[in-house]
Amino acid sequence: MIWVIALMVFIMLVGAVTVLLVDSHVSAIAASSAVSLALSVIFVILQAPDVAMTEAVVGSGLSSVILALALFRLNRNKAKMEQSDA
Amino acid sequence: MRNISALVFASGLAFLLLVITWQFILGGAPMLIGEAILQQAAEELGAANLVTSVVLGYRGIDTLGEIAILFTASTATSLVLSSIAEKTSAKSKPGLRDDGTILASSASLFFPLLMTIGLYIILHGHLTPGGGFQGGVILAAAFFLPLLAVPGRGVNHSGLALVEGFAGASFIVIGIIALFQGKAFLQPLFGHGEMGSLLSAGSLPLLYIAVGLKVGAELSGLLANLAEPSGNGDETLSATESASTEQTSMQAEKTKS
Amino acid sequence: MNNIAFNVALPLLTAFLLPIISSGSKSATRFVGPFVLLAMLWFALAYFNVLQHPVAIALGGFLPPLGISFHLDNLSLLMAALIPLMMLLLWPYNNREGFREESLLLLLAGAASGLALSGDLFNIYVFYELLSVASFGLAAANRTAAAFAATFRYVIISGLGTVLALTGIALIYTQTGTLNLAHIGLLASQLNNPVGLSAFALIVIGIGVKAEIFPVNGWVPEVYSTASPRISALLAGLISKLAVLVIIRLLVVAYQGSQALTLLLVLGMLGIIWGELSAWHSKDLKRMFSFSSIGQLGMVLVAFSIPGDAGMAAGIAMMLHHLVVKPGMFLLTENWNGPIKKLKGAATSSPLAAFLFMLFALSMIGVPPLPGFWAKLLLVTGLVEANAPLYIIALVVLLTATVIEAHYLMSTALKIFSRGKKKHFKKLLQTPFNLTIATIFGAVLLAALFTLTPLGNKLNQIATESSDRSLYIKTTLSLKLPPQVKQQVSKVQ
Repeated sequence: MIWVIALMVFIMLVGAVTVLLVDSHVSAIAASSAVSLALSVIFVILQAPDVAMTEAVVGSGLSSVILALALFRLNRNKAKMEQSDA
Repeated sequence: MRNISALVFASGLAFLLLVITWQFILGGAPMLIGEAILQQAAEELGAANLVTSVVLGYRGIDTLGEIAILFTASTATSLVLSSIAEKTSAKSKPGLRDDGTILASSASLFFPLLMTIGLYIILHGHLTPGGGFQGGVILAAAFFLPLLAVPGRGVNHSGLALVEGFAGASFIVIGIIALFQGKAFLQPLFGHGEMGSLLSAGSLPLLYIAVGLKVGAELSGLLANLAEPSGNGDETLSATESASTEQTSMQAEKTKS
Repeated sequence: MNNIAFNVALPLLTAFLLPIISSGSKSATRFVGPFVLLAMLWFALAYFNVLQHPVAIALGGFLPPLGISFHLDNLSLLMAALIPLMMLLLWPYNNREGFREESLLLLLAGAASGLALSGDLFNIYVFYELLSVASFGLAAANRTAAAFAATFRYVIISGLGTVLALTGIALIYTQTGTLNLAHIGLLASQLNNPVGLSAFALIVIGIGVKAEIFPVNGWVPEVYSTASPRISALLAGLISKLAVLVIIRLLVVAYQGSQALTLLLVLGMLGIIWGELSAWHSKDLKRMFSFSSIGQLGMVLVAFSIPGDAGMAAGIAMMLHHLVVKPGMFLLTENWNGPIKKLKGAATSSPLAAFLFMLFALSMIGVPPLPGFWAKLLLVTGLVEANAPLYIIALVVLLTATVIEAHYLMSTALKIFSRGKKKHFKKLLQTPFNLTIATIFGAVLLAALFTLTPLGNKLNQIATESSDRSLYIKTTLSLKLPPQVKQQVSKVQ
């Protein structure tokens, strides 16, 4: 069991560093959602299924969707502003 | 100057955290309240899922605070988004692109499945892991998936607002009813029932249904608001408009590269 | 006896229903908010009148260390009554744009009441988070690009703060195994170690974002100078005091040692120095008031770091004085914003506003016989009586800050009272609505001047009561300790 936890912690660390280093915002969102997913596995191992469920649904699902939608809106507004400038 | 002060702050914080980890004894935490609750929660509340008896029983007002936080966040977001929409809606702006038949039909396939799972998790919140928050997010996903697959379908925002308002209000009203019966605010009502059956744990399942509906309606509204072109939800996409988004997004990519 | 819970439940209920109400009737939307605030005021005052000694209330019928309790004493009820009162004064009566701002204000009122009353650390955190999110929305409600940029900064700093505060609360939980403030107080000896003290530091810095404490107040000038004056008045006047209230509760109940006091003293001094110097340098009226607000809250912190009743009395006096003066000052900035140079001739344009500015400024500097003088006098005597090297340094800092304060406020007053060009007069005219509310604040200040003796007596009573640690613990835990907890507590001790 300790190896699964170690693996998950490793995935979380890699994901968190990726968020900082990667250039594309979409990849950063994907990496942050991977962090949450690994964390939810750790919660299952620690016998906290309720928390694991919340982390999986909110952390890796909902928050990445919201971030992606915000990014989409931002890009669209940027494109619009560039259009009006040209 | 600003960088230096940020550096000082960050290094101070790092030092503090280092001290804490240095001093910390792992596994030595006293479990005063935790153990006491474990011993008497089942007897006091009759919920098979002990987490639920903490979330809705012992710390019910925290849960009320949490749903209020979600409501506040979505109100603040729609305040900000509506102002952007007002400034940019001179021409009607298209939203997400249409992504074809396969996605559309699988989305409608997923809708009943997700609804069932979401409702199951909400209704069994007092018996099995999960509850209003988790189930509510799944309900929101069920509503949002078709919107993602077929953009411009439009969302019934006033209907969502109605569900949301009444669900949130019923949580508080259940609490106030207890107050009028001479009990404390948010004290569980109607006895325990048989532990482990669907109709048990008094008013806790009712509270979880209220939380689930509120969270589901709230998040559906929020996601739809974010995904929609101008935040009103009444506009539909025409083919020419969606073509023009492709152009703008291509232009955006070009300028990026 | 249990209806103080309405002070949290009613505003939240109304805020939830406001979208539905507004789709039904627009005029009802405008009246329901003030009505709820009046009801809250009535509940708080009803308790205030009957209260003989502090009372604890178990929410949900679960006894305190297991369930959540509200702690009612003179201080928390005073805050609970001031919240609806300030909201009523600063309510957007002329807003015709819909329900969202009203909704956020009601949520803010509910969260603030919860924060004032709650006796449970995690419950305080939840209400603090609600307070933060509602104030983000209100700070951005102006909907200008500058307001969005300022709010973004506010969100980032506040987010950092909430994470730090949550870490601190988690550390306290691991050390004591409980979240109830009174129960933590009972086990306070377990917090007298590096982990416990760093938990306190984390909570002070985390909650201190709202209290404008030194390292985490970068948002203050941006937000206050871009948000509408009403919102700035609310955040600077009321919300910062609630954050301070949480810190002093924790201080009184769980951290009686000198290290925690030293931390507050140092942070307070740094706040005074930074705030007053920046205010001295600033060329814009709103920014000047924001920085001086940071300095004033630094003084409040210094006051609370004086051990014993004297510090508590001085702190509460400074807090209440700032609560009246600063909103009044911010209300005057609606049409007086921009560079101070342009204020020439403002006194001829609206003499009442100039008079009010002078009144607030003099009271803030501490010119006798205005109430600000008496608050500062309490602080100075407290510092002298504390008689330790650090407190003497704080005294020097305080007196220097007062000189700086006097300089920048009086040079602004000179600009206001000097002769200006007539064509600018129209721009400098105050709106009658803001002027009325500011006059009310001024009238309260003057009224305090004539009731100094009863006010002082009440202040001393509140201070003695709220600095009494064992009274706080007894009040909450006398509701009966569950047998298992009693056993464990006796084992730990």
